[in-house]
Amino acid sequence: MQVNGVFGLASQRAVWLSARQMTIAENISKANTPGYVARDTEPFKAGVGQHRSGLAITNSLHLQPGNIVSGVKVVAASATGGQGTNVETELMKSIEVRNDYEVNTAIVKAFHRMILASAKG
Amino acid sequence: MDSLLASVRAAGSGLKAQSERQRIVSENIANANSTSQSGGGDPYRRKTISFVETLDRTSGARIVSVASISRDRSDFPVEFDPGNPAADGNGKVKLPNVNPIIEMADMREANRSYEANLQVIKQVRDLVSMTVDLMRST
Repeated sequence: MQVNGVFGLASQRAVWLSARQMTIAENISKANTPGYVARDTEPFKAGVGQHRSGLAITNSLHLQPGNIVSGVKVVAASATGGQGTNVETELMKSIEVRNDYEVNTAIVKAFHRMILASAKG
Repeated sequence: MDSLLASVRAAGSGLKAQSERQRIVSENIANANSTSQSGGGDPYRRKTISFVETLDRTSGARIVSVASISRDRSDFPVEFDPGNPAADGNGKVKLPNVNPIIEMADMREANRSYEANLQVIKQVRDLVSMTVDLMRST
């Protein structure tokens, strides 16, 4: 894979991970709200984060509809295999997000160091 | 607004909601024995709180807020105590419909949810700090 391909992919992954973190935060804050169904993001694949609709295409600062967060589609958790709002499950998901994020930033750092090394000669 | 910072907004609203709930629980516990001032009158009536999901305009996050604080409409327990100033003609006193065991269980759940929201804020802070660390030279 080309080096600039890596940076693009890592950036998309970072966007997806932040959208997932936000969904988890919303789930946890509503753990005691009656009638609330836990949500989760769609699985990650290249090209995620490009969903925009209507006004948001012209300017990304427009409010996006509730089921799109930073361009990532969000669905009810049961659709992705989860079950209801369970605080422990959400906390475990947030640990996954954290680990993925660390790996992601470490990869970016490593490639950045390689580029610097080749630039300095 | 950026997703990570919006997460802090959502978790902050959770903290606020749970501390509101904690306040209601402590009011209930403190008034668990507050009878009426006059004979035969109604004592303290237990308060209940309910939450609802709302949209925060500035960040685009779906936050939680207090829907309403209302009163528990169940019957008051009645005790026979003629010497009590709140006793009616038959010597019966109405006591508040507060069950301390239920209030304690509520308080523990509020505590647990509060801590979970705190963990979310800590995690987001770590994620942002990891990203900023990318700018370090080493």
